Amino acid sequence: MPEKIALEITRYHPELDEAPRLQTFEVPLRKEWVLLDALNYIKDKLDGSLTFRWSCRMGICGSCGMMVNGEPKLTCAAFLSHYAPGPIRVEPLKHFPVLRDLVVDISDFLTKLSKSKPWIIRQEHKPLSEGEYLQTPEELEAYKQFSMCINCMLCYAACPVYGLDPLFSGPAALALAQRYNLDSRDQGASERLDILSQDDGIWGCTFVGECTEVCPKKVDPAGAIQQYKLAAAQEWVKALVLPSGGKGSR
Amino acid sequence: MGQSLGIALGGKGEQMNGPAEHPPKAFQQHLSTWWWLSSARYLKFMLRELSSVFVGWFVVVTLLQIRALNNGPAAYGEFEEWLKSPPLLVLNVISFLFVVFHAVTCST
Repeated sequence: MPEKIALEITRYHPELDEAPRLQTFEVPLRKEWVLLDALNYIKDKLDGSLTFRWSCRMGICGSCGMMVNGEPKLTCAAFLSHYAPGPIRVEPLKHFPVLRDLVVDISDFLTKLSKSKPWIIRQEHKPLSEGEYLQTPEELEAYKQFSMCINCMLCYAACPVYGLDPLFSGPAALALAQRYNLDSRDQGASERLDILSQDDGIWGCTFVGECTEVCPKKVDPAGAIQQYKLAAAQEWVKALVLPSGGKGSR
Repeated sequence: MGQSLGIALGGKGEQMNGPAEHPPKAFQQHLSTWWWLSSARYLKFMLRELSSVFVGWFVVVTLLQIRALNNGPAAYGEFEEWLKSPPLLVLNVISFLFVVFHAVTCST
């Protein structure tokens, strides 16, 4: 195994550069190092101005997502040895505005996430004295997979629909909406459906499926969106044929 | 150092100076027109989308066949001759390959 590996890293200084450019660094190729270790090595030893996001180093926080050789990856889970002999190209997540070097502006994602209301909505609340809302293992299993999302936005970088139509709600926001729709404690499906059953919501998805392929937590956002489409279609039929417009049946 | 990233970022890009949504001079990445050639999985998706056109063509051929059957032996003979013409043969071979591709990728 060679002793060093080259990293071609996107550099962009908003006050100096017209457009992003590549800068190559050589870092030690250590078997136990992930890409994030290499980026931290560069920042510590070679160029302190290199800017990137990271936090937990264990695939939980979702901060260190970047394009690695064109694929969206968590850099804390991408081993250097996997890409040997290199070079490895590291770029900011696709489709998002680049603020500096490898840091992208995530405001659009955060806006869309809050629009999908990813929290438990109750129409009626029971008093604390009655205890917590209990669930069976089956009820937990219904949404557990979708609750694994860490908001890393790799799915947005992989989704060409989001790249082509920035108004599209995107995979994670829709998957998280479906996660709460499937939660037995939630009563907000109707509120979410009114927002997300639009052209730029679930119907914007053309089922490319790349969001599911790149998801580091195996959430399957594409599956969640297709489930949501089915539920929305059922609600549309109910609204068409039932006197109450189907509202009472949700 | 300093190599342009034009191609890597999809061929196009622009600086955003507007105050509204992004901080000044955030670099907006744009998706290239040829994004679907950037990975085998994207290409497979686009080919499957394209295969729907050929599935539709087979439906049209079947409907024309039923109409010819309904119009009697002479009309059906003309229909068969039409199918044997070289352009139709080439089109139907290509259509068949796309329909097979459409079928085998149905569950993937």
